[in-house]
Amino acid sequence: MRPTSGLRWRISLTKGLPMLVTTGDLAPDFDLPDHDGDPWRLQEHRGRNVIVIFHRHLM
Amino acid sequence: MRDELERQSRHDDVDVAVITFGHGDRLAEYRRHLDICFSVLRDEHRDVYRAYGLSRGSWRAIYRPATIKKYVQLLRAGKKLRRPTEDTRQLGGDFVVGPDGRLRFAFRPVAPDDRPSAAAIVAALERGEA
Repeated sequence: MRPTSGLRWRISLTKGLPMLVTTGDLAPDFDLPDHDGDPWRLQEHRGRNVIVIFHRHLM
Repeated sequence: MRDELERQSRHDDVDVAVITFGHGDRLAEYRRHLDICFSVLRDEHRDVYRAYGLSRGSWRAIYRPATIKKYVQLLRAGKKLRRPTEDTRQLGGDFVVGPDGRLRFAFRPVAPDDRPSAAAIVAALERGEA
């Protein structure tokens, strides 16, 4: 069965948007360089609580 | 908030990571300047920022009347405004990831000065105790 035009429209509206992770979801893993240039990977901190703060641009 | 983060980071089972943007050649200096003990990471292209569902603030949220008034006051006082070197519409975000790798807390601001309470973060840490 072909989707209706309304359904296609809804799909195209959500296609470009990132999936919003919410509480209870697995946190997206990342691997970023730290202040010393060493890699810092979230997954390596499993078993511990991690507070992740994204820096705010202060005007 | 910062005091609370430092207190939490002294716990054996809590790590704190601050994610910044842009170029990384001054991260160590930035960390020393602010005298912070957390890891400071660089998300140069904001891939992680987007992966956590964070986006840019609207013009309306960023350039609010109070902000414009502040700029006018600074100009009237003879201050020279510097051209911003970062994206002025970039917002922050605060998350707690539990020992199982799942999000225990997520705070996505809509304006630059939105902040979660320290109590909310502590409560999330207590829920996710290792």
